[in-house]
Amino acid sequence: MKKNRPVPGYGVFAAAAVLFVLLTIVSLAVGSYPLTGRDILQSFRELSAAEPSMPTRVFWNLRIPRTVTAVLSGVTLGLCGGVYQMVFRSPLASPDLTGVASGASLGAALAIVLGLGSSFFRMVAAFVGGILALALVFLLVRFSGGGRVYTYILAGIITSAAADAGLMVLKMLADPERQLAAIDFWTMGSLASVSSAKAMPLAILTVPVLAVLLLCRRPVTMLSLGGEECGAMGLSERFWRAFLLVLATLAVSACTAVTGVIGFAGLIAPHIAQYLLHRRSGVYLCLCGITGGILLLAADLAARSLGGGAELPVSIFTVAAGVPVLIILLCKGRGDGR
Amino acid sequence: MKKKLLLTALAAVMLLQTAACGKPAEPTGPITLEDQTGRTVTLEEPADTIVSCYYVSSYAVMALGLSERMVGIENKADTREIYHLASPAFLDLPAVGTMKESNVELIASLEPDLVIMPVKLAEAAETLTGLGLDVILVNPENHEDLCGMLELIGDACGVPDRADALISYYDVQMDALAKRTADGDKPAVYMGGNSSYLTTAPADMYQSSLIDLAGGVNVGDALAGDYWTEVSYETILDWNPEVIVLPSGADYTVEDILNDKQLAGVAAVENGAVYAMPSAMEEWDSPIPSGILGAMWMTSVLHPDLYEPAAFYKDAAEFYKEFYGFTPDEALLK
Amino acid sequence: MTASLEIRDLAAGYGRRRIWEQISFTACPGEILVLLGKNGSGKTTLLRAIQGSIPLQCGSVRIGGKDLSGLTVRRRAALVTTMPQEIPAERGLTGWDFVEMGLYPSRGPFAALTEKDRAKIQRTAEKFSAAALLDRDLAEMSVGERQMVSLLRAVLQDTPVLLLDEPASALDFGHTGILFRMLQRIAEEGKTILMVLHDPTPALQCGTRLLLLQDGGICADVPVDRKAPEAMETVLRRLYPEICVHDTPLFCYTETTGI
Repeated sequence: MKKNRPVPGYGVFAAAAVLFVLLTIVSLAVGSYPLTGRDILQSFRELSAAEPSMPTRVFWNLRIPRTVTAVLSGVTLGLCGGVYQMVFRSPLASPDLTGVASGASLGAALAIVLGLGSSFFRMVAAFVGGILALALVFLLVRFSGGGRVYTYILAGIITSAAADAGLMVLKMLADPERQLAAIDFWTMGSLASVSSAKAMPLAILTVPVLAVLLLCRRPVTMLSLGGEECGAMGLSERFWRAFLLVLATLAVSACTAVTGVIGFAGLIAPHIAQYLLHRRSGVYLCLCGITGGILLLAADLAARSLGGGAELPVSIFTVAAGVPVLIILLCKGRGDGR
Repeated sequence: MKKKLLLTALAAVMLLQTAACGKPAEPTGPITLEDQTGRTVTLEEPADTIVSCYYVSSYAVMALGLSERMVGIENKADTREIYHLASPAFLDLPAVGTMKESNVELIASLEPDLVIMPVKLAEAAETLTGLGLDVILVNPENHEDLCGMLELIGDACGVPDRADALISYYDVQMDALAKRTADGDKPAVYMGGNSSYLTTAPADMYQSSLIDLAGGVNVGDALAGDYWTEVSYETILDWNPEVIVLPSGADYTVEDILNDKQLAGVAAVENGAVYAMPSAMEEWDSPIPSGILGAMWMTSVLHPDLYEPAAFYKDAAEFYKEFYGFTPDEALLK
Repeated sequence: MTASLEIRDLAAGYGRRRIWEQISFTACPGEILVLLGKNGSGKTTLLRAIQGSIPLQCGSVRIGGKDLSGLTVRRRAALVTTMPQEIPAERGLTGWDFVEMGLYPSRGPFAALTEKDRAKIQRTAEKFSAAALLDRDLAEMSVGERQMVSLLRAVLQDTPVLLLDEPASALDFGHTGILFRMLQRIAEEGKTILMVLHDPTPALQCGTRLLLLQDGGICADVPVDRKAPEAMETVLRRLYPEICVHDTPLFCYTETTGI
């Protein structure tokens, strides 16, 4: 009789964690402004200096916020993608495919057009947009009476389309010089204009939410078995599903408010994590987050260094990584309905 | 007395030339500016190194004779013909970003005294200000704001007289145009858009004021708005313009319009009065430092009897010689 | 013996429609109640109503003297649990992951499993000779194996009342036998089992009491007497007019070890 059942996948998990940390360090060290190791050490020493040098300012005002944002939004998208897939019981549920991301960008755009421009308010508006999109998806799925994979995809497409139409209306109304540029930025997804003023509220909002989501991995797993099972096992499906989805949507919306829509990262990170781990329990959700973080750090590194000085939209790279993963999924028949 | 006047004139010319050579004027203490979004920027001394993130402001830097102070420029500089002609050094400068996205780290690494950005990049401007760089935001959307931008850059770089010289040139030319076209008939002009001739410039667009300045009537004034607006064939037939003008950035040609059977009945097409604005160097139909030439060219097209094309070529060549430091080939002005 | 499950004047349905009403019965520990009825007679609905996954229109359900109506989902799941017809073949979850969920009512959402809990899971699986299933992926199991895992989960949950919805619907003959032997062992340990079956044969062989659901109510509630086939036949003919019950079974389920 085995007394201590080893939790499988610790090796994979450790390897992913090491890669994650390495990429974080690279992300801090690499950029258009040449920073040497010595500059970075110097910038820690100069932290409280009255007149910090340019390398110090670049490190603290640009590199740190950008890396923190890449890490936070990557982890958020990956982990919340995992939560969405388990809770929706669909391998295609993800922040972008369920319309949450579109809803959030509509909310953020509305805040811009109405002139309520502070970072925090944009996040609140993005959250309201995201939650409304989520509610719409739920209603559509409920009315169509299905719970099948394609029902969610259809509901997500409808919701995204509605949100995009709203976005177009806002673009029409927006002042082309200032607001339109800001809205355009939202729909493209980029970490180029991140500053500490944006990274701080993001951290304050997402870190506690991610912690709670990780604590809730048991209810998440149980929800993946469906409502009837949950009731028999003593888990209030209605409460937990709403609670978890609201939390995940809150975190995703906060990220969307800062970085814009980053396609596919939340969809593929959980699939990669499952492929590596062969399990969706234990450290799975943690690995989803780390995979998402790795994806976004790598995509952002590519976005800032492959353009030859120009900043590229980060979604180009996350989508480019997502397409082959989706093709593999399709070929393996994981994407078929249940 | 005569001698004294001559000396003063000579001194003025010399001063102008020193400024034109790109050397900063004597430091006169901190310069406080209000940029075109109302931000206040204080420079310790006239800016000696400049990053411009917008082609219009780069044109302005060039027209103000400050080309040598540029250390960074907007993306795709090699597509701007005027740089090849007037300031080839621009082509080798680091590209710092587009209207949507700017590479703040790269700009910081250039450590410029002054960064000029369009209002669209207001957010990046805040980030750069946080790094301790001086940034002015410009918004040259019409003639007044163009002049405002020229004055702003002139002040920031210690060459306000160069900006004054440009602006007074505009005033002189605009007066001359107004006098030429004051009387007589004003032909109805249809201005096609950049991507299609089924879009046109409505009343509040810069192009409309250009037509007005050149002694024409913009048929598109019937529409409200300040950006290219879609219209149908029927509307154009109804307006029946006497002249059709293609903007510098048109993706189509004069022949396309002449061969379009749907437009066959329009007066401009029947009389062959379809003209493309010269595009070999700059976009004269937009508020750029040489934008005055757009109005002058159009006058020569609408009223060749009042302002002969040859006179226009001469004036335009002189403008480029005076402000850009080179004499363009006449072919470039057609 | 005191009743563990008491159903009184129960009525439920979907929307305004009542599927049945005025259902009352009690059951004692050790009993295996078999609920028989035609398709659509509301057998599954009755299990749902008892578990509390659909609201009651009137009446009450008590387990061990406690009324379930005021209890939270989690408290209720400490008293009664349901083994559904089929559990989802969720890829990425192992038998262990699934069985472990049976501890949710006692451990709650956040507490980590103790060494004792792990040993208990292992012991339960070994008792039913199903330890090998713990490491396998749900998606790679046969329907029967998943039903076994589902049963392990229900047993681990350790509720006084156990509801089963056609537990043998997807099982072959051999596995059906194993399942019913296991249910008898569970009942012998003092649990009350209420199960829905569509086949009266195993009902007679393994059940201790028959409940016949027909025309919106229970039309018969009789103990199984394997020595009185005629009496059984009379009762069952209310539902299945053609049925014949013999005193010598054509076959019987024997105890086997594991699957």
